[in-house]
Amino acid sequence: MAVGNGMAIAVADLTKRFAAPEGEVLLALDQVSFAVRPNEFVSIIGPSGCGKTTLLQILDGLVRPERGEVLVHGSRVTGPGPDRAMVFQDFALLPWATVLHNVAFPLEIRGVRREEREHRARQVIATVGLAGFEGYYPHALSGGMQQRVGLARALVVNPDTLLMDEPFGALDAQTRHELQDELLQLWQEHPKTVVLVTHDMEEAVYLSDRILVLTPRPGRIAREIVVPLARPRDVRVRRTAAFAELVENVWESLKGQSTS
Amino acid sequence: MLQEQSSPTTGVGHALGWMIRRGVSLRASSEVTYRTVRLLSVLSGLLLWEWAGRNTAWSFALPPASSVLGALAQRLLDPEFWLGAFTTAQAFVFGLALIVATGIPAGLVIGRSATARRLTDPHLAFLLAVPAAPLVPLFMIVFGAGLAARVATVFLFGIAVLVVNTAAGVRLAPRPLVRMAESFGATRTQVFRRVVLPAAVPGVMAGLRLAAGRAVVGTVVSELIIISVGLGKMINQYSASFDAPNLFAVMTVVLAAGLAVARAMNWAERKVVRWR
Repeated sequence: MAVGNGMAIAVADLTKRFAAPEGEVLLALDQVSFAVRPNEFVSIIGPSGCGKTTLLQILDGLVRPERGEVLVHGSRVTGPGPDRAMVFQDFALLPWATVLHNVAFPLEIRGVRREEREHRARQVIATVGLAGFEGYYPHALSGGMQQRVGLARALVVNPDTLLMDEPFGALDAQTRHELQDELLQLWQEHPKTVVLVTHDMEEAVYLSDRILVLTPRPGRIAREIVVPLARPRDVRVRRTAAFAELVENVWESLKGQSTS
Repeated sequence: MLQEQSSPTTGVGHALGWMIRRGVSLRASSEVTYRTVRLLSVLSGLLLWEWAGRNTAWSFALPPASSVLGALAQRLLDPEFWLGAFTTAQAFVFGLALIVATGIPAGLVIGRSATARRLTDPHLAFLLAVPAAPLVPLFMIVFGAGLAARVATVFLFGIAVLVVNTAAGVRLAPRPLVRMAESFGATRTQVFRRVVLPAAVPGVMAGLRLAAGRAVVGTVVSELIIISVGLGKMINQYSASFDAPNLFAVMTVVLAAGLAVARAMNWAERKVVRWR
């Protein structure tokens, strides 16, 4: 178990197969190994169909790997746990619940009493800039606001690790940039271990300490790119030569992987 | 940005003129215009009916609207009529209550369990498709010619749509929401109570609306076919004695009650699923 020592997340030799509808077996992840330090921001980037989401779901405990294991702070993941929280690409908000009740939902599941969970939910809602919208239903909110609710819902349980599955993929470019800035600010003020799955190269460079490039079918880690841009970062870093070079670097690695 | 703007309410004349100029459909016009046109349509229908009743050869079968309205006023002032209406309403209310009490739990179980679904599918398909009226006399043999047989008829008419719609609602609980709940550590029971049940509410409400409509039909059919009581008995009597104005008057009441039930159900549906 030396692999997991001092690491927030240690993934060893992860393999996962899926039975495709035509009967053939699809190798989604093939002997994937990596580790994430506490409070490190790691992005996993790759073309669609490379098993990024599956990998994240295995980290969350929603999906069981076939072989290999995931250690979070040294203990083996056997299912979802209170130390990890997920932000979903499609937001996954309960349409019949208000912003307040959506954010309080994880606390409700854990049996936190109403007064306390609503108090905590209100605080987090304010943190993501949605104060005043507590009583709104999701359908009345823009996509960007809906994902703020999704982020608040993950933060309300105060997890050690935030797992983000293409959280800004469904948003328009401007909103995406806004939310990236806010996530960066939030993370710099309250550091957490973050694993972000994305296919947006600039997003990965802008936010991460490290980027893992995943190959498609079978999903393997092709390259690891360290992002040496100074912290704290803000939007100005996007216009530097170093930033452009790193994006170019990620792009080259991705291009090397596309077989089609 | 956050809420749709409601369409501005314009003056009726203005809106009508605009409609004529632009040639727009009723759908696009304002609510006021829509109501006005609907009222005009009803009024002209009544006038046509009045004219036909007075001036054509069928006035015996189609009495003028005014004489039906007169008969209706008489019936509404007649305590005997209200007694009959009460008898009819009894079977409807008990039947619908029984449908709700059994149909929703049954639908939840069937939506949840693939085995239960396979076992019940053929029977539900039969209940949905079969013309239920010919089965009604059988109830009289089993339950006797009383309230129980009429309640059973209402039940037979309405039960299947509620079960099927409830089960569909349960089955259609969105996968991503279930995953989300599981990700936050929800147990199976919590997923069911906090995600699957609320997601099923629109299906249940739609089933309820359809079941209530069928229950109205079942109520009337039971009284017309076998157990002649209540409003059904009046319809039978007026029909047998060729008393067209009174026949139309009672049928108008049945129609109004049916529409009122449908409206109430629509209202309840909108109230309960206002998050849509």
